[in-house]
Amino acid sequence: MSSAVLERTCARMESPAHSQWSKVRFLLAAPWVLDVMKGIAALGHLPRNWDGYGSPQIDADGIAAARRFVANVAFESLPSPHVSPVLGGSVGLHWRCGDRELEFTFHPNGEVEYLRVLGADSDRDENMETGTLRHEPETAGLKLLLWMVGAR
Amino acid sequence: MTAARTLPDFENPPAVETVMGVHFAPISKWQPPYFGLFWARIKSDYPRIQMQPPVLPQAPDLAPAQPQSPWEFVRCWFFNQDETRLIQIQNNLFLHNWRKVRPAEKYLHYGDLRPHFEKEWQGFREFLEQEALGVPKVSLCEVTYVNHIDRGSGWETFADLSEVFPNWSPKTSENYLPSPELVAINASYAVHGVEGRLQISAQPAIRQTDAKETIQLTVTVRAKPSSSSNEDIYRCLDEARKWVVLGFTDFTSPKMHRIWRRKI
Repeated sequence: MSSAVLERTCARMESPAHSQWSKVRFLLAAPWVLDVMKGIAALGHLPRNWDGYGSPQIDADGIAAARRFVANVAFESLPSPHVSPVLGGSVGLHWRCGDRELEFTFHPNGEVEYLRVLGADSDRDENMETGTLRHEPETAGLKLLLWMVGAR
Repeated sequence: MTAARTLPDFENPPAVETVMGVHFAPISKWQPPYFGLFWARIKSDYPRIQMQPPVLPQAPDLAPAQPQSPWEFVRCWFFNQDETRLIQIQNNLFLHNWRKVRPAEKYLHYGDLRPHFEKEWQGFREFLEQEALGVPKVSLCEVTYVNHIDRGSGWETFADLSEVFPNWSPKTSENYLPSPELVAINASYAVHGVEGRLQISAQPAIRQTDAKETIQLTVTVRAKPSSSSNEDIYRCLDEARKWVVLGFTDFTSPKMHRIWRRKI
């Protein structure tokens, strides 16, 4: 994709420039955010051993981090992610767009891991990449999401 | 600015940010290096900067105008270390923002903030004079209050919105529609006493710092000062602020005023 496409996509993500400094994500531009926020919050109600394999309750810090992440990266043309609990008490967000997939895992220790997959044959190692977002996960996560929707 | 308050006042208002500033005719000789020269003057108080896309120009007739030069596409932010004060400059705009970063922080009233604006605006005018960039021909003064009305503080769903904003009604003609999932309100009012407009926008939003759901209620007045003199600018800002406060109070319900602990 050309950079021109990226610029158009970015322009849609932000509200028109105005004098305000405080940062918010307007929900009318991406109403799915509301459902995802509720879905992430609901993970906090899962009991200990929710998976039958002794997993702890979903960590409150992981829930807060996943909610902040969504609040910061959501944009109009981004599809809604699948929200899931992850073994060990983490929160998982999974996006799919065509043949591209992205998975973020928000761990109790504050680390955010990602897995990105390109291509129909997801079993092939060369189609997969994993990594950890340690600093400003929202900025790095947004770049990955733009890649997923084909904007970069 | 130490006179007794006569306008509505709240012990715990939902305001999170105040903006005051002026729009002026584009400074024809302005170029990006002047941002750096100006920064050198204020760097001790505003050590951090960020480049931003421009605020759309406002013509004197209060309708959006077309950019006059490429430099209108550059806006520079200068902000303090704890990110509570901000100066925004582009070649036709000077704005001063204050925002509440921590919930426990004391809300600063207009009377606390206007002296800061006066100091920074006067400093900018002196800078323009020293650099022979001319005297700004001010077309508009702006006062904006940004308020966050969080879910759980007076409303739970958008069906409750009439309890926050009395002019909103959830009624429909034939009761076919369910309760609204989201509601946004935009309204514009002519301002009397000065030539200008008051604009109110209520938008459902998620705050990025803590992912809390809120209704962002933005109240803005842009009005024309009688002249570009500081006296007329400050008079116009005072009038704009009066309209913002009275407009905010009128637009929101007595129930919310009780929650925000209205004093007068």
